[in-house]
Amino acid sequence: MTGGTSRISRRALLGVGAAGIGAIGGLPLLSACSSSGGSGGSSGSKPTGAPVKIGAEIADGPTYKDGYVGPHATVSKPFGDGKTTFKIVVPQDTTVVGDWNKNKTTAWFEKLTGVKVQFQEVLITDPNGGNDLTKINAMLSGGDLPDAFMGIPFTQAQVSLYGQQGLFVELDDLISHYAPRTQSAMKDYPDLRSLKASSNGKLHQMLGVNDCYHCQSSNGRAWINKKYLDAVGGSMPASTDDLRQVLLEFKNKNPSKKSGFLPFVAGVNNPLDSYFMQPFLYTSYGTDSNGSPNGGWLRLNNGKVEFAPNKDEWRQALQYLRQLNKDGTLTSQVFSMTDTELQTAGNKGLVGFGRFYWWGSIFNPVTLDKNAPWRDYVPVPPLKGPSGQATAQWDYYGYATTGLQITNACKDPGTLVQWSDYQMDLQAIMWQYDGIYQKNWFWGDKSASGIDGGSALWRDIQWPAPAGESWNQYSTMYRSRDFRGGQQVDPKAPTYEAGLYAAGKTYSKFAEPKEMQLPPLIIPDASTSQVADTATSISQAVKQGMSNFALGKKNIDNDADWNAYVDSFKAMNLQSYLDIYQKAYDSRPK
Amino acid sequence: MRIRDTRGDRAYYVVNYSVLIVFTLMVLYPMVYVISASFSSAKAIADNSVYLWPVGPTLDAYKTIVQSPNLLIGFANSAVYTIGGALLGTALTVLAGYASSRDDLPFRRVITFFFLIPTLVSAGIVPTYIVVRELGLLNTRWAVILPGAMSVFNVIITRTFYQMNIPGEMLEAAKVDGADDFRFFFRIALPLSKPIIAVNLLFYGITQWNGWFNAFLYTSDQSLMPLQLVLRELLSQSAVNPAMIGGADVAEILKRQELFDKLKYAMIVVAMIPPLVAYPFVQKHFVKGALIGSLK
Repeated sequence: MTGGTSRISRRALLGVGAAGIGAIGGLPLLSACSSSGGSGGSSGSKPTGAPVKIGAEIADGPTYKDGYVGPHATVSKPFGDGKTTFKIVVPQDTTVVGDWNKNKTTAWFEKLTGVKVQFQEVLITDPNGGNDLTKINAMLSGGDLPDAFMGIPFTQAQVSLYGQQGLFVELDDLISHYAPRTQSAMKDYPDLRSLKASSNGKLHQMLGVNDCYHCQSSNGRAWINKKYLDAVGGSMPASTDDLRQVLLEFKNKNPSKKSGFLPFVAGVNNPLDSYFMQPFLYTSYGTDSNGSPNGGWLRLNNGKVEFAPNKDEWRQALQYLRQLNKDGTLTSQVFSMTDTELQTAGNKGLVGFGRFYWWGSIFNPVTLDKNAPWRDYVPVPPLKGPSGQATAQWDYYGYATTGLQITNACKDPGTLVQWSDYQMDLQAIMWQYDGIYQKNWFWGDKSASGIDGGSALWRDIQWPAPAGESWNQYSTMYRSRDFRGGQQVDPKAPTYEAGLYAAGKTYSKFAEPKEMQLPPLIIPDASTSQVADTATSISQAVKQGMSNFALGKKNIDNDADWNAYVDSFKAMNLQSYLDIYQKAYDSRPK
Repeated sequence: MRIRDTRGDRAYYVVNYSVLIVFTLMVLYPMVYVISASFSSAKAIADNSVYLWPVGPTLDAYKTIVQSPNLLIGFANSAVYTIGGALLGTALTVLAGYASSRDDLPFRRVITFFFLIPTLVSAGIVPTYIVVRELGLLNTRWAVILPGAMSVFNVIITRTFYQMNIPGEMLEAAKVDGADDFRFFFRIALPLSKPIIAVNLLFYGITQWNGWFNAFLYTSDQSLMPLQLVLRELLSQSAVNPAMIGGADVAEILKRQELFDKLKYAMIVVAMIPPLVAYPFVQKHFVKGALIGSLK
């Protein structure tokens, strides 16, 4: 910390002397043209005054557990001049946030920071829940720039591009001067900055953290109904062979006593490979080009990008699936079930074992009733394969979120950086996430414990907070693992989070090695369409191959069929696809 | 005295009516289903137990919709946009259609060609956005009504209508009696074009009623949002995106799921009612006018 401070003050001194020339210090690469966007001319992009420091803990604050890493509730003074109004574009969300400018948290935060903000709401989701940045793009291309964007789901590639065009301001210097909480988050999460940096290594957005422990394994988890397992006299499967036996028992004895019982379910949005390939080979948690976790199948092998579905171990896994199909426990339904179909089956008590995200995937509604049927479903630990290895998919990089992107139209980016940094204060996080203090949320009770078993940090009445009180999840947040683990649990009415945390624990011991996981990468603009095209064909071929081989439409034991499948990837130009990823990986911001 | 149907006649009726009944059911069933589902409990919908009649009848969905403050604003706005857009669009179309139907209009070909240009090339979102912004229309009601206020397709239909129904002889006769152009248009041409006016009102009204894009792009004030945009936003707030599964809090998924189950069907019903109510009244004009006008 001390080293950082002295560096800053030197730069601040230099900045005073250099009076606006090279507004952002130490960037010889940046041409005058690309920095001319507007921030270049203003004095605001150059840190002035003493570096900002975090204040003391507030009185009547929460109890932190031992070794707590995360946001603190500190005494904060207003720093805005109260005159300048910043225009910030935010997502429209009438059901939770309501009118941003009349929101309760907006008023509270304005008082805390002294910064006046005029929010402009933009609808950024389409009716399918996907992102629709049409209007944002029109604003950007039309030169209709606000001071900043907050909570807008720009892709990493977009931020990188706009940053290097000079549309978004570079933030490294400003952060090291104005943003002490961001700095400590970067220390707590060493990968954080590089995950959000642009391809030229500079940072063009404020950083946030939402470290959901159970989410790291949730895409590769499988669940089994404990009651049904007991009814057939089985024990928790530990290997692929065990599971096969359990499924056979399920099928033959039908513990549900209902017609239409499904020993094994999975579905379109809950693909089975993320669990079933692991006993045979690592297939890293991957996101496809749309950011959907259904694809990817890429992994790192000593720093080399590899593709898993054409490996021999993948074939073994398919042979296992084919075996299940011959047993009659795996049917074509496991590839085709929609979310609604899964929920219908679950509601009727027809699910024995399944690869799905969480209880809500097979129950709708999921009630907190103590005897609710979803409570019978317990996580199945990763299975041991023929080699005796058991690994679980584990997402090492999903915690990074984004705060603001500050544009070159902003006259005083320093103030906005500080404003964004204030959002990482524990009190601000709670207000923004959960609404009004002592109405919808409280500090944790002294004797109570949180979902991770440590002392409770906070508790809330309901989430989301009543409309018009919170900022949903659009702010710059710093919800570290300990913060999330500090959510108080009522032992009388346990919610989902505690159970999911426990499920995460089941998988963490088996987590895949981090060095095998491909981090999110920025694909250079010139290659994006090629990568997207190839990714689409690969995704189709892998999914089709999986169901064809598993269901016996193609013979997995026949070398000709397998070779045809492997060769189909060559025809899709897999190698150059991998090369692009390799290059992006090698040149990733560090 | 009754004339007996021949056997062939009867067979014809049986087949005819069966086919028509099948088609009617195909159209009617989804509507009945949606209406029933909108009155059913979320649990019943999730269990797929709604087939024809509401199961576990409840008004929950409608309560949520009525309580959502933007919905009533959206309804009022949509009414303003629909009426405003229909009147303005129809006025412009009738004027342009009548003028271009007259043989004695100078530069008629050039003007017609000029009208056709935007049907062949369109500027795209960003340039249009800039134009709207530079005109100072952003965040006003005009931004919803003015861009695309007149449709060239409608102008062509209307022009054809006038060419067919208001022959040159009629104009000559009126002129002989001392009527000028304005008098002829307002006293003779306009009263004769009720069907095409009805068609235009309906076309423009429906377009505005169903429209959300202009409001989405050019306004950001919630008090200007039309109903369709309010519904679209509700829908997007309730959609569970597959890409989100895997990073999202379960609380978020749960919230969306609940909202979705509650609102899905009721929202469709709400958006469906006004056109359903209005359609029968304009329908007779509609068929007549659109058919006549469609002879191009």
